[in-house]
Amino acid sequence: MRLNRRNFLKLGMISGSLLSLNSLSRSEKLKGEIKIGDFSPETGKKRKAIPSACWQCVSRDGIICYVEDCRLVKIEGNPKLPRTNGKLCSRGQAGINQVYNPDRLIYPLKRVGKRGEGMWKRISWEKAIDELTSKLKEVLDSGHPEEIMLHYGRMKASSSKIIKDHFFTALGTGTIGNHTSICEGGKWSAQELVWGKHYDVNDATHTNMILNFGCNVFEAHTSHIPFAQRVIKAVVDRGVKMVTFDVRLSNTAAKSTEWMPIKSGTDGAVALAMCNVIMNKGLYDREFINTWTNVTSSQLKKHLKPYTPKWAEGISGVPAEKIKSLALEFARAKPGTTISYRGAVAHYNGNENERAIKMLDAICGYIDVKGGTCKAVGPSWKNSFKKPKTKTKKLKILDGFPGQAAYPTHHMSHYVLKMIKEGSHGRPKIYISYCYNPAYVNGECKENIDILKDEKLIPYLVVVDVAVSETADLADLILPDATYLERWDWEDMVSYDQIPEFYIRQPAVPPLGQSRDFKDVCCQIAKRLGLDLGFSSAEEFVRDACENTPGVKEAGGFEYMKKHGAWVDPKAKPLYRSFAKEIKPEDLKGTIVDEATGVVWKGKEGEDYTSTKDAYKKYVGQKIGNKVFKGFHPDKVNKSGKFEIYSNLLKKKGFSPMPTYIPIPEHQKMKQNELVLTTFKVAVQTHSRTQNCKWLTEIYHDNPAWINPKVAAKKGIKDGDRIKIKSDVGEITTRAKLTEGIIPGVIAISHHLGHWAYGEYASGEKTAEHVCEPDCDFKWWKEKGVHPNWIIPNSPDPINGQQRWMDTVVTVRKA
Amino acid sequence: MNMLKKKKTDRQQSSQKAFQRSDVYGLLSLIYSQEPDESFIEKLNSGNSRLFFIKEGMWDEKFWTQSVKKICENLAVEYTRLFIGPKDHISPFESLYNFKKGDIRQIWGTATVEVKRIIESAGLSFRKDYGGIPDHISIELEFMQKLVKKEAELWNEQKNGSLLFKTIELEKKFIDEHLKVWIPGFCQKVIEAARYDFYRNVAELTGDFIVTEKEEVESLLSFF
Repeated sequence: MRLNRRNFLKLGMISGSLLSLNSLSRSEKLKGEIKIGDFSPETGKKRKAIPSACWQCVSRDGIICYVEDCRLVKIEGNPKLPRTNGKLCSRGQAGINQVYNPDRLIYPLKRVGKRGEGMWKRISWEKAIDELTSKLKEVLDSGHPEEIMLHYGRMKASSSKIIKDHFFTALGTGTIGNHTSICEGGKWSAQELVWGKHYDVNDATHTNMILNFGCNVFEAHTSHIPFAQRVIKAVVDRGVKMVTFDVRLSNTAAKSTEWMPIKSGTDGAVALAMCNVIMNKGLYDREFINTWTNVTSSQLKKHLKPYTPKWAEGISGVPAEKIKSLALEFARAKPGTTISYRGAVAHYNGNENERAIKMLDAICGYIDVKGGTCKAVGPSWKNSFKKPKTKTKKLKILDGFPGQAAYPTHHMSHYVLKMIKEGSHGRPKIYISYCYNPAYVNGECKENIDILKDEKLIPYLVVVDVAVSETADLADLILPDATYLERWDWEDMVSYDQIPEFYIRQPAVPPLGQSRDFKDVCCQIAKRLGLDLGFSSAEEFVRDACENTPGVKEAGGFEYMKKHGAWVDPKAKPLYRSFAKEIKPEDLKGTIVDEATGVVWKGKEGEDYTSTKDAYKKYVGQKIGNKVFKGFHPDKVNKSGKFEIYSNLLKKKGFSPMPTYIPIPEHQKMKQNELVLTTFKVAVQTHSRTQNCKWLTEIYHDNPAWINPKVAAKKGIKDGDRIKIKSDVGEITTRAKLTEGIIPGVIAISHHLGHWAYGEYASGEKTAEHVCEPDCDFKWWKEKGVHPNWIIPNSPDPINGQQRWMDTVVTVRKA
Repeated sequence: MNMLKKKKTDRQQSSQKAFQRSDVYGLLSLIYSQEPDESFIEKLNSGNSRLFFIKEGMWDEKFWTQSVKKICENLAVEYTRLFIGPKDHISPFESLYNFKKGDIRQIWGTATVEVKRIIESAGLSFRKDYGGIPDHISIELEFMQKLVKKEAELWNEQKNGSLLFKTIELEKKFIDEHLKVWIPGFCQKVIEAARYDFYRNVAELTGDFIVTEKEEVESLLSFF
């Protein structure tokens, strides 16, 4: 070393005198003084960084909120949460617009005119809670708590625990509807019949090939950003082949190695034919099939025999040779993974499509292995508050009419209003919609509006939302909810690295105006009703979980989570093949073995597992040989602990026990001039709750119908022409977008637009009396798009009840 | 004449005037902050107040002969329709009207930050139970009510001449950079949209008052 510390000090003195020379100091390029802290590069103002969790879509990514002058000014991804990895989509970044949207709801409102007339009066929270409490009390006093209905669109993690498990259970009602059947509920139901508890995670980071059946993963998906970034890395960095089967050249199809155009609702046929090829070529995983499924390879070969590539080509339009070569490539990829979503499952035959696709993974041995299709791993939060033991009652209006769907394990939310209208299974006296907009998001909008408007059918309608939705327009009481950027939650979305990730949502700013987190409102109503929930606010609930959850607690509990937003065990290893974990003999005390299925469960001696109500809740493991393994844990139905390619449950209900191809009845009867209407999503909007965000609607506010030029030519339609699209339930007018990016038999419209409420940016509507808006220069676009749901019937998959978004037959003509 | 050398009686007059101006701000703030209640309506519909409005041609006899309860109900619905929504309405927040190129038009915009800073720099803070937004028209008017009241008090304290000057200067700044920028336009919208004379008249009064206030503070400052 030439210079020591002492010498450096001397050099420092010399440097100081040299720097004092004017000629040298002039060379400095930076000005101002160093300020320690987090400062905005744009404004120079001090910023506070608050880690939290997104809610713009169900992915719930980790975020960091930047607050300047008490104002939320920027949101970005939280790099400390591995699933998000610091990345955030445009929807997440535009969350700021949710908070400060000029049309934000900030006061409780009470209807004063006729329902739907638009006459309102602001009321205080005190009065709003008084009114709602007295209405609830009236119903409770009548002895029919089931006549209180909660219908939610998104309610996850601690929100679900507080609102559903604690508050509504304490009320004694189980009439709680969700919205999963209009999303992807059928996919989960199909998985429950096959491998039990739902959610499939495609381990893109380690896979060697991806077959994507109808999922627009780069623009949507329930784990959009966590998943998409891993798929992109696989495809770009490692050259992983990804083939997308879709009726439409989505951005995912465009960025895939290959887009494989396919006829609507025929994904299952292609998957079956691939299975046929793999079985015939002997490329299957014998060990997995024989040990972990409930069929043999010879059974499979026999079942798959008719499903040849040639047969599938005739049905799907995918060339037989292509099916064959992709099947071989997939079986040899070791491992590969299949993605499926609404393109494959939102059909009459969706359940079977999903089962066939899962079978394709299974015969290759790609189930729950590194790089395969894995069972979801999520965090397990622990709260010290006990769920109320109240025995709940419910109206049988959540699952459609009796027999309409065999196993609607995620309900049939799109049928709830029809059930209320028909009335034979009872009607709720109080209908509370939370983060849900039934008038808009279901099919047959006209009927939805008519039912919601009818006070004889729904005597009291309460809407909890952050903006005035189409449903809020028809409400009796509107409660302004806090946005996700103003409230508390612990979060639990699944990992894409197979490691549990704990993270929280915390307010970046206080609730705007008088908006209030509905979780807190539930606590306040509970108090009025004399119900002891054990906690009095969402913050208390989240704090409790942080102080009681192993790992999080030791890391520093609530204070740690507030500072970092997320905690992941640094020693945790990715979890694969959880089904193969052996259960120790000492953990089998008090169990019996069901001889027919090999299920080891906590039933009573002599009880039959399959036919005993809710026996799956007592499942312990699966006996294979002389050992008991964790197996594929059943959920919602009494299936065995095996990967059930053969479903006795379906057989019992008159369906094929093996995955099969069911033609879509309407499509069989189509006339030559008719088309199938399908819907799709884009990267910058969600189905219904982001159009109030100016930044997003500025990017995407128009949704012309995609139509193939050959079809258009026959109908005399040119690009940009106004067209009428007619189905059995209605007609809409929109414009045609001619593109080769859609197959000839299909017309496709994104389902995000055409709001008639939800604020000015979403609906584009202004009343004449309010003259010109002050930001005419800012809102430069006039379009608001067209909503396709007006003409899509509410109709279920006969097995799982999924709304059949992709099956509607329409005629199209020039307007 | 130098303001600070005014005679005591002149100062008292100026003080009185400022108290009155402050009260006008206070009244307008109250009307914009909440729906009128029955006692307010009863008071408005009697004695000098009633006479004043009749004289000024701001009185719809038919409306005011309804029962107090009915008047309150009608005005509450009208208040909600005009200023709250839930659908199309005339949002009473400055940041939705006063923004520069490049700003985002939103609630809690740039103007909100400025208004909050001015209010807090003047030594005031927001009550914990307010939970509202700093640039609501009623807050801005309430701020002026308090500021002009301070002015009124300072007129009676000869020693505090420079404070008085600074107070009036702040009034001017707030009027020029905020009230004047958006309130007249806002009021015009209310005038056009209102279904009852009450809010139409209030809006007209407000718009005119802000214009006269601008003249008033300019005139006051010119004497210093």
